[in-house]
Amino acid sequence: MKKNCATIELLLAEYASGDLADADRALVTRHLAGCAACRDELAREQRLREQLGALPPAVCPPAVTAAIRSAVRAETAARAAGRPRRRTRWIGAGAALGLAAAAVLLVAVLPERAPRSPGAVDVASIDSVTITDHDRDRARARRDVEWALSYTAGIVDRTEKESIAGVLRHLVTAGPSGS
Amino acid sequence: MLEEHRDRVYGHALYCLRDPDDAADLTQEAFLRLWRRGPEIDEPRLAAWLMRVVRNLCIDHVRRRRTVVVHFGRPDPDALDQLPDGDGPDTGPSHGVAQQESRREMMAALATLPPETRSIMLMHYWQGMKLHEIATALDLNLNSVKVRVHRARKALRAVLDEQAAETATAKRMNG
Repeated sequence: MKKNCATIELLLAEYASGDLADADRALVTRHLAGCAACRDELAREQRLREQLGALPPAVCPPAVTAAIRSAVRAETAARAAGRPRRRTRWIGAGAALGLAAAAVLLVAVLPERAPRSPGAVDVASIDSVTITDHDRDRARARRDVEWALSYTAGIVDRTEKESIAGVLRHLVTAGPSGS
Repeated sequence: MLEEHRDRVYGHALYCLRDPDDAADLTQEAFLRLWRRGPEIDEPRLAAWLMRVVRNLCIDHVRRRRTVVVHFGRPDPDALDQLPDGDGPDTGPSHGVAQQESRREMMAALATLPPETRSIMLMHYWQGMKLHEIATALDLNLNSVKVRVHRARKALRAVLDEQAAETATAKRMNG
């Protein structure tokens, strides 16, 4: 019975790389003999293998190696001095989270535009100043949120990030609705 | 240990992210994690462990680029031109240009894949890891790796064919 093409296609990468077990290799060879579509697919697989395999090797720059050694030395020194790494990182993460929360609150509390008060004296000048200040504050708050998000994401590992991201998502979702 | 694995780790990050600075940062982070884990990672598992870490770091990095509003800058399509050309029989200037163009097209096509799949393709086709080694390193089912490779191959071919058609059209219009 002719083996299903979909099953054979899944084996073509290993067939082309020579990693297929003998029994499967024989199966694929038999199928290819009678299936032009799978032979075309194998040809595509081989072309792709050549193209990706021809990507040149990358050499890690010496500066990166030096930076790794330097960072390891710094952490070794910090440990020797009795500063627990994770606590330090959590303080940083906590600070970033706090800043993000404060910024989100600021965005939420500040109105999009300062309320206009048509009857007030010298409305035009006050209004224009207020709008400028509010816009600037909102822009600054947004930048703070963005910075804190990227900072937090950069210094905590995946698991930590998930919990922090959950809090931030909640804050960001809740924030703008107040403005 | 650092000398033995750094090029693989850096290369994976570089081809995955197309940004030498980001690749450098991720390489540093991967080795720092290795140093922190220290004796927990025994020698036979070391290469696979490092590949999993750098792959996860790449995925996180790509997601962060997408989800955080901060503009990290798009990968520079010329960033990989500094890499040496492969040793081939024809290494004349026109061959070099053609190689660069081909490399650029391949990198652009790879960039269209989800980062998880992109990593698997690099591990298999560029770094020469066997599919079962990738499955072990990434704690995935072997069949799942096979399916991803198969789908990615089709997706890459579609993009590369499209690029080839566009290039042919452009040549006809200019010629």
